[in-house]
Amino acid sequence: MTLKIEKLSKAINKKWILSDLNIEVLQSECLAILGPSGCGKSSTLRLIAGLDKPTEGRIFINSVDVTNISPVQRKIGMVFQSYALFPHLTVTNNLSIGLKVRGVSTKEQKNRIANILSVMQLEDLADRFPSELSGGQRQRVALSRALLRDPFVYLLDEPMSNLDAQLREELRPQIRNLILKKQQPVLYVTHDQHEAMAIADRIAVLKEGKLQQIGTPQELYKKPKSIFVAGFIGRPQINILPATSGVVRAIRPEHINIVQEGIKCKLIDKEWLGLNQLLFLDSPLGKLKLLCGANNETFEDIEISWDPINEHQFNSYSGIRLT
Amino acid sequence: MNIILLLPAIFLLCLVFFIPLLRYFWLSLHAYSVSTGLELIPNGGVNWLRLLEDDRFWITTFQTVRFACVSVSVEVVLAIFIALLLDQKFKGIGIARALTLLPWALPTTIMALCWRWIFNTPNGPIERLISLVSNEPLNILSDPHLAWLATVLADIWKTTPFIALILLAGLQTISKDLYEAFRLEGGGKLQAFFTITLPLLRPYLLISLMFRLAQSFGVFDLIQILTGGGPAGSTESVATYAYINAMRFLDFGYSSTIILGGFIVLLLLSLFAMVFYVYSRKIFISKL
Amino acid sequence: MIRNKFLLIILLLWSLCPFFWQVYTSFCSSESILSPLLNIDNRWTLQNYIQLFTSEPPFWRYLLNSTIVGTTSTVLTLIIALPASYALTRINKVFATGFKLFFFIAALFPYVLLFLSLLEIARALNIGNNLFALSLPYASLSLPLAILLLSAAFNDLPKDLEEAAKIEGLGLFQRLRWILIPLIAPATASTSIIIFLFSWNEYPIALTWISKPELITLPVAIARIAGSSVYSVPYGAYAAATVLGSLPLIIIVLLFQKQIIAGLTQGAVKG
Repeated sequence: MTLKIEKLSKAINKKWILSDLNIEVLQSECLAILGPSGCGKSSTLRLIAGLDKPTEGRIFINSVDVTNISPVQRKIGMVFQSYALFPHLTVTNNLSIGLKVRGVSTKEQKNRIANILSVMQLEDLADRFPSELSGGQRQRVALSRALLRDPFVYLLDEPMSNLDAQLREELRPQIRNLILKKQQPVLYVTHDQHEAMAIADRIAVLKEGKLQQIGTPQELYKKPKSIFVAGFIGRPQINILPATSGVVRAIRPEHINIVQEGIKCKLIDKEWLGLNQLLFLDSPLGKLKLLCGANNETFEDIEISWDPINEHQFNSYSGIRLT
Repeated sequence: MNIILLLPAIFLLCLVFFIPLLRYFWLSLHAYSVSTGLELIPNGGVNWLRLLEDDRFWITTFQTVRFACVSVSVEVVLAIFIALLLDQKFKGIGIARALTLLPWALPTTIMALCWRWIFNTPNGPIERLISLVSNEPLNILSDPHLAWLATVLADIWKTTPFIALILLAGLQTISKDLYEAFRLEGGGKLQAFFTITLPLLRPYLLISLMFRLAQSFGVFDLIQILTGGGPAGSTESVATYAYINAMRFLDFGYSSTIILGGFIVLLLLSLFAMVFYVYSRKIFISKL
Repeated sequence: MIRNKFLLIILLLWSLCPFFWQVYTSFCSSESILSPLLNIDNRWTLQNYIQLFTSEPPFWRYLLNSTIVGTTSTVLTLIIALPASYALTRINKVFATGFKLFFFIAALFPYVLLFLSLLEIARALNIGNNLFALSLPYASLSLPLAILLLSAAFNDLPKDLEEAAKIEGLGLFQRLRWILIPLIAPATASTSIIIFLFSWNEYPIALTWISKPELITLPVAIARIAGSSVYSVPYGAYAAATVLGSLPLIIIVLLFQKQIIAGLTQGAVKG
């Protein structure tokens, strides 16, 4: 099972919110669409789900052109950011309503719901209303609904953004295990680069409706194609040095070393991060951040250097990577 | 598909709003009464000329506007206080709000009958109280100067709670933080009312003013029951005058003309009010 | 705080006193109404009520008529207004604003002015003297406010819910029936009560459409009881009629105070 979009574009009021997007997601692959809010990532998902019509371009599910068919016929399993659980229905009824209208027999409905409830460890909550569930439980119900759909493609729209940080960490591997065991391609929309790197096989970075780069998390980290991607992937954020003769150099805080002889800097502030500490430096090249072990001794005067291999260079006008 | 769902509603609204107004216009250009044998006979603008020269129509219009303006302005001022009073939290406030709303929920005919008994001379409670201090009865409902005030009072009793509840809704949208911030700045309660409450309440005041002015322009039930338009036509409203022409004199052509004439007056007044509002707002903003 | 409670009591007295006066009068005999200070034997009486129930048609008939009209009008309004309100939130924004403005003006319009044309319609279609037909103008006149209130409620629903239902395979009417309409039940309840009150209380149209004594609605009946002359004094009977006519409404207001107030406030906030 595969998902492929070709030259997908969408304009609202003559403004392009998505232009010329080409992506292919393979069988049991998880692709994260990553970008800041308003970059067009949710619009992409809605176009694939069939909730909106593209201005241009085609969508193929299992090599069948589904651009003009309804959401139901596309067989999409979708998890909404808000979970979109029907507040007036119990967990069981939330799960059964779709089966009912699709003409699944009552007996089979029961079996399938019982099955999914046990897989998702929701048996005890079957008769509760969504308002009586915790955030994590709601998310599991929403996932169950998508799974019950037995879809061709899974679309997950920021499924973790309403959960607290600790719960997110707990759920990430669960989602990964659950969905990636399946044959279907998964499209995972998020604005959190950490989450995208943790969960996805590949990441597509979007900015203002345009695809910036698509690749594995490692590729994006090691060879960002543009300043934007470099700044978006990796925390703490990459240091961008002032442009000289049309070239912008960038170096990640974790790649800067403290040395005996190098660029002389002043330490202005530091943040302790547990395993590491983040130093804020004032250098001849401007302000720099440096990530080093928490136990390193730090002095007010510090000298630094880095391996040129770790340095990224971009065209200062276009922001595109040089070689 | 979505438009189809709207069609029945639009059809019905055309049936009860547009077609009647067109029909009135058509009828107003015809003689159409018992004396024409209920035949439609085109008579040019005769009805309209008659309307222009009909003193009773103009007096009636004046009385209607007077009724609307006086009762609505008193109602709004009272309603602000009532809304402030009802904007508290304690046990039973829900019941208190419901009970204040009761006059609004009763049929106008019932409440008009109540007030007719209260204003009754000489057996109503008001006249009885008066008789304790004076030998002269007030004759409220048969004195042209008092009768219209009686209709205003009854209207105030009925509709003030309605406005109060709309304003209460407005009050409840105002964050209490604003008042606390204002108090920390050293502002007093009265100042807070004028600098926070009143400006933020304005959309609600505007809505209730518009709604009430338009509705009280069509006052009918209250007049019909409380005074029957009397004494000497001093409480007649446009609606009761049109009603009498249609149902008592059976002159449908002229009745239609009165209704349209009243409607035009209402439109002009609303237009005037709107211009006034926009203009006063500009002045208000430029002063700030 | 004590001052506020005191003012609140004054307010309640002001709102309820005319009503208490009616209750008092309704139990008074004619003699005691005319001379309340005299000490007479037959001061209290049930005669006023007995008279109402033994007259032809009996008074409860009017209550029944009003209930019928109120109920049918409410149901009819909802049947038309619910889909229309949904549609209003789904069509092009510019059109929707236009429609809303139209509905708003229609809701403001003093409908009394329409009585003559509506009477003509009743005559032309020969549907006067029919309680069910009377709900037709009532529903039409209630539509603007109902649509404004209900479409505000539909608008407040998260869009996700309907989209999730779409993805689950629910068609338009299934979505309305199973998801959307149940979700705006509170707004529907408030709207229904306000429509019911309007239809129950409406006077000029009922006055002109219905002439058969056994079909007239409560407000018309009250007006008829009051109608003979402005200066006549059978006030005991009047008072009994107003008390009986008010009772159902008092019960409705006390039972549904939350919905009524929510409906009015919604109208104000969203209007």
